[in-house]
Amino acid sequence: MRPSILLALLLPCACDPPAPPGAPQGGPPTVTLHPAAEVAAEAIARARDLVAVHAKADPPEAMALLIATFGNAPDDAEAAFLLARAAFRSEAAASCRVALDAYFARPAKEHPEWTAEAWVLRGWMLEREGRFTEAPPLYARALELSPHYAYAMFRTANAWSESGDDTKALDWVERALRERPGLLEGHFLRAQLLRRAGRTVEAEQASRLHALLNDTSDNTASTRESVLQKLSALEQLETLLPHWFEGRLKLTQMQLGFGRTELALTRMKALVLEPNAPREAWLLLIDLLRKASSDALARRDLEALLRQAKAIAPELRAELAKLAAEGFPP
Amino acid sequence: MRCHVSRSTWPLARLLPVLALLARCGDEPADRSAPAGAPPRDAASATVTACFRDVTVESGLDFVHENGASGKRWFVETNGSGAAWLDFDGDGHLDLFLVQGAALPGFTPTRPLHDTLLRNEGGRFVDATPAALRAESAHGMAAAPADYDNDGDTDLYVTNYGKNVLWRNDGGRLTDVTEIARVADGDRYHSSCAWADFDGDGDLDLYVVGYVDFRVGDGKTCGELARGPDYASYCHPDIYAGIDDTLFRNDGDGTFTDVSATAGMAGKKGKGLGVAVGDFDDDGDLDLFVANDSDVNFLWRNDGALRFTDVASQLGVDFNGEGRTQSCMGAAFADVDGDLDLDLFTCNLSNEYNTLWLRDGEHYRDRSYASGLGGPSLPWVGFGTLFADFDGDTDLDVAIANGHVLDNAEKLLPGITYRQPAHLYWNDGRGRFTLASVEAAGGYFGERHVGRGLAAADYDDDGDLDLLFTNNGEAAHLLRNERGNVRSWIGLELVGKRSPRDPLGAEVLIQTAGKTLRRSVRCGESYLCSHDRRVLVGLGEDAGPVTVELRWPSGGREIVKELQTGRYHRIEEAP
Repeated sequence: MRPSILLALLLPCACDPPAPPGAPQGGPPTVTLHPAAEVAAEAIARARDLVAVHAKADPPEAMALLIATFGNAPDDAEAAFLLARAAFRSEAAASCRVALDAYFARPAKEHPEWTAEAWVLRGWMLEREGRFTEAPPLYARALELSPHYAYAMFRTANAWSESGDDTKALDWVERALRERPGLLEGHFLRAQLLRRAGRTVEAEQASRLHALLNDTSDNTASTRESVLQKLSALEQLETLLPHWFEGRLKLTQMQLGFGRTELALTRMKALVLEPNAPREAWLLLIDLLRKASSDALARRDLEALLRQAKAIAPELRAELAKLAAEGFPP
Repeated sequence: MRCHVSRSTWPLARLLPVLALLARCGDEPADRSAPAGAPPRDAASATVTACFRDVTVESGLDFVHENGASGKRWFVETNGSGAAWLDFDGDGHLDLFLVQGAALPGFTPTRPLHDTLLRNEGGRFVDATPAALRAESAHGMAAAPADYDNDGDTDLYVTNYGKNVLWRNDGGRLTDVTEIARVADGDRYHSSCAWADFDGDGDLDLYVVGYVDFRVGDGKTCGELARGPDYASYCHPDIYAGIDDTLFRNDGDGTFTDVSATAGMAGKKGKGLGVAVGDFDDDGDLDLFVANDSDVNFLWRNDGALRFTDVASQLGVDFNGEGRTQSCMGAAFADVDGDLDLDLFTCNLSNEYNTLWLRDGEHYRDRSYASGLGGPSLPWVGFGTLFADFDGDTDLDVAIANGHVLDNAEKLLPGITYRQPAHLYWNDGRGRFTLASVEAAGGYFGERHVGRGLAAADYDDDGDLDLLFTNNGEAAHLLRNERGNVRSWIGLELVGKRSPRDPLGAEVLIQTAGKTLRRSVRCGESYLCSHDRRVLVGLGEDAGPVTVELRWPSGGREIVKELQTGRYHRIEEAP
């Protein structure tokens, strides 16, 4: 630990700022530290990685780092946001509340997605306390800022489901699935809701979708049998959930793993021509084109595909056109 | 008695330097999520909470488990072995059977390894292992005692990594009748098992849980091998295929028939570790829940005539509430919220919360977090578990044995340890739980062990449940409950007539102080273990007498009135 931080930690309680408005009564005291700019930047960069979704994520470590650097109520918006996220994922409810209060005291106006997630964390914490009816208004705040926020929609559905309003819940979960067709928990909840509504056939279909999605998740067996099962699930989902681009990309990657390059290339050429095909699909296609021929031919093919592509975001089209015109990075 | 005070939540240890500052300024951050609403009754009432004392040494319990670990990390080493409480010699006192591991390639034992039977002599345990058991050297997993032949003494089924063994008890003499009875279940990797009269014909059938298709010497190595040999680890069950469970029908003549196919269970491959038996749909027959490791769970609804339907998906317990499979280990049915239906609980891997499904009408809802059982469980790997009224206040508390599966977890997983503290949660009477402090629970809950099995019994017959923990590659520990009987209680020993003599799964409804409690003769439950088969009920301040309604596995119902509290009652089923 840097001496300045150590010193800060040893300061008497006079370092405590007054409790922010709306802070829960009886909660932990708030401490705000003001590290040097480079120390703050370093801690935030490290914390970003520690709370990202990957195998080496370590939210408690992120939490410890952020509190040691900024105190438990940072006045830096990103630090407060990351601390709230880390505390939530560390099951540290009180710390999460304090961090959220700190964040909302100075929300990052240039990052509405952070504020939206902060509202979701607030609502989700209420759900975890069993206060389901209080959560939807908070998710609504998130959706005001980020109208396509599928997880906020899913949480709204869950809160309504637990509150006993299955009609609203079903409506919200279906909205969430339109935004994010591969949302595993969404399909599971939808199946439960349909079953409770007596819509048995649809429930079975939803359960089937959920089971197939589960078969494609990373947390499944790695025996030969299970790998083939995963491949089969992805192939079925390509038809059942055509808008789940992530799954179709996974399928392509698996086919490449099996040496079926031609098939993968054909699949990607078709996929990128669909409305709103993601950037990842284009990048994978470029990779495949380059492997299949020369860079020059790949650029020609890319240009041709761009001419055919109708619904593509202007920024993405510009990025790809530049690559086709100027060449690919080494 | 002096109990130690400590806190054992995940982030806290790692935040100590920071918390030191905050503590000087007032309370530390409340990193243990507190439930909403009024403070839990138990937490607020220090004079009536249970407190367990480790009596391993003074009780003469001297059993050290060997898992055969040699550094080669055979998968079977890590799952531990269980234990069972049974009155083996029929003297009215509960004896203790402890399952032992075995030598594996690369491991040379320094002492004979065999399952151990300890006779209870007034609260002291004396080795009474018969010669037949000493000669048995399989790698043992679970033990399930029951009088399968209805002859008045308690027999014993032991599952193994390999063929299982059925020991028939003839007045204290054990005979291996596995081959005659046809219950070896093949040379497979078994885990838990449960006896119950699934077809209502008056004898006990047997459900045996299969785990995975693993063979010692399979050549699979896992872990972060590129970082060096210290980072090799046990493989994840994902790399093995699941195997079938087996349902054996008791044919009533000392033999059994594998009826898995006609029951509708054959071909349903899971990676089972725990099994719980209960009549979740209240239709009078016994159903089965199987907790699978990184695979979908099974909830076998008994449709009668030994036919079963897996309704886990239909009822929402195949996955957790997030739609994800979990690495489920121990399992239990219990009425945790006092609404007289059976809720369901599984203990799971770290970073997966322990899951409590509350029965809600026809379905189950995952209320793990709202109940207070989910969040605090995240850093820990739960195995054995038990819902019981440890403090006698009429609601069901829960105990959990924790211990990671990776013996080098500290190297591989940030913030996670191999040895872990056991947990005790108090129920506030409404199905909301608070993790007990070590002060309230007892010193053992502040120690770290590689917890696996948890078997409960009132071994000293004093009206409260004591706990036996089995630990992987470590000594077993016996905790005596010193506080549970300060309130009123009643104990019931049920003896079947039309039902099996051991009426496992029988339901008991107890009227007390304006409410009704639902309890049962324990059957399956926990992990690799078997509990005391008597029904012990805390009655709070109700000094009785009380009325109980008995629901026998035969379908018979009886009401027994005016039962005195503060003692055990032996009740025989009406013929």
